[in-house]
Amino acid sequence: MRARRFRTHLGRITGGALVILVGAFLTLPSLVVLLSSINPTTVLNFPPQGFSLRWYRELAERPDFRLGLLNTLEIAAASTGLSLALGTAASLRLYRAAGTATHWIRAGLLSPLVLPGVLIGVGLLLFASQVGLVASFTILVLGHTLMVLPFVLQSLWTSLENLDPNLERAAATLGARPAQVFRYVTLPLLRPGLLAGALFAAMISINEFAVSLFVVGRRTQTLPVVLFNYTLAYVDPSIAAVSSLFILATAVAVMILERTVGLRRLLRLEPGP
Amino acid sequence: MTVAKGSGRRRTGWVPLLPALALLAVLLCALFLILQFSVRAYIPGSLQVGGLTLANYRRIFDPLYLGAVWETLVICFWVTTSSLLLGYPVAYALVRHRSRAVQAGLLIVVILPFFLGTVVRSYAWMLLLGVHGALNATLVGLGVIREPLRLMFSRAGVIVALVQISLPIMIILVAAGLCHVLREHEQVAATLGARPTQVFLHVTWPLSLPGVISASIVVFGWTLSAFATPVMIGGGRVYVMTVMIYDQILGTGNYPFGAALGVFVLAVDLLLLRLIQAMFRALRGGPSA
Repeated sequence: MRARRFRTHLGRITGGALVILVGAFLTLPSLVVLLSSINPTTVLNFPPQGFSLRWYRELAERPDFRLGLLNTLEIAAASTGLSLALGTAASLRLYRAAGTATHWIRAGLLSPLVLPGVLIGVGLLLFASQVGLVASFTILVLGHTLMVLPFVLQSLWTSLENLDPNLERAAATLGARPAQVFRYVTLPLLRPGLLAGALFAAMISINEFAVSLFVVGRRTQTLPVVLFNYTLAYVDPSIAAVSSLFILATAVAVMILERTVGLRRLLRLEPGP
Repeated sequence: MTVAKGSGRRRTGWVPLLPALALLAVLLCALFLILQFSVRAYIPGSLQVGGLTLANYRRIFDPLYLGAVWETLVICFWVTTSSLLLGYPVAYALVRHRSRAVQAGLLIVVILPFFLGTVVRSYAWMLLLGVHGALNATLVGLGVIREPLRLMFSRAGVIVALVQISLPIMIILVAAGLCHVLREHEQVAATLGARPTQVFLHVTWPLSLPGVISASIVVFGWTLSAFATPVMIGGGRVYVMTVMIYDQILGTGNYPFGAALGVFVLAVDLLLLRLIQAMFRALRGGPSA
């Protein structure tokens, strides 16, 4: 009996150690980037030789980074708005009327989750060349909307599953017109899903790379594409500064998600019914 | 009540779906164009394509491209198995740890890198793996090794970075599966005298298999489509399928051959996912179930 308890204890300790090691493995790269970005010397060395915000100041003077940041924010805003509008209308309809056709439409809209991004990028490049949209903002926004829509649909789906249709019926019985029911009953009840979907969409769009690489032009480069091309040519720590900004923005977004919707609920980590 | 419901549905009809359908049409057009370009002849120096041909598909069987297929498969295999082995205990702790605070903290650690783009994370690994990078500096400083390890531009380096990149999604999907394993089942087994290892092997693991399967399939697919990491860490020396598409399309401008490679990648992707599904299904029907 004592031997068994000892073995269980040993198992728990090795398990705990493994979990801590994996946690460190997941976190270490971001920490190294943050440390490099405040290192004053041009050559990257560890540990950092001091503290300086030099690389952040240099960012402001780089036109390509500034243009990339502006493009990224514009495209993220456009594709988030578009995917929320498209996604809300579509998922209400898809959720309420289940059938073979709606099943395939939903599967098609979710397919960018599993299709290789490079493939979608190449396809959109060919599409753009056929319809005269090469290197345009339009094709970038279309591509990003395609890539973020699955996340919007999924988070709205969770909200729809929790929405009691009797509330809408009650409002209708009391004389509300369909538009009023939608505005004053459905939409407020879908708020958590919409909020989570918006944050998801913005984060995925800001970080989107594989599709963007194929459809950007010189004037429409997004920040990840600028970053990618830059790392292939230079190694100075200004890239670490940009990456740190990405890390900090992501951390803020994750905190907002946790505070508002709750990550466990969002990721379906609660025991199901 | 029935009147309101019926008239509401009739009034909405297919209209709310139209914008989403238009977007879906763009995706289908894009995929169809890949198929169409893949059977056209390449005219060097021109973006116009020639007549119908199967030459692009024949060219895939060149040893250079078959080598890339093999390289991709080897990387996918190692990334999927290592992230499953490393991720399962974390997923378990995420769902089963006694303390809610530990669970919440762990979830943040897992989810932060999930939302960070592959370019930023691959760049982080460039900083870590370089000859003068953080890892080598630490190991040399501690006297563990004398000469810095060559990790950049190697398959091992690409695999390590990709494991870190796929771990979050592996952990989340396995944890979602583990949620459905009821604690009562485990407790019943324990009450009946099963040792913790037996409980795990005969109750927890078989019941968590659906999550493990979908997680492995997703990670395999993501690794197959991974692109930034092989280019940035592999530096042209780790030649995988997505890199060869990139080279053809954005390098040489050979759209037809790039498109054929794209169709080929998709076919390999679908075939392998089927294989993994079949493999796990056989495993589930095996002695452990």
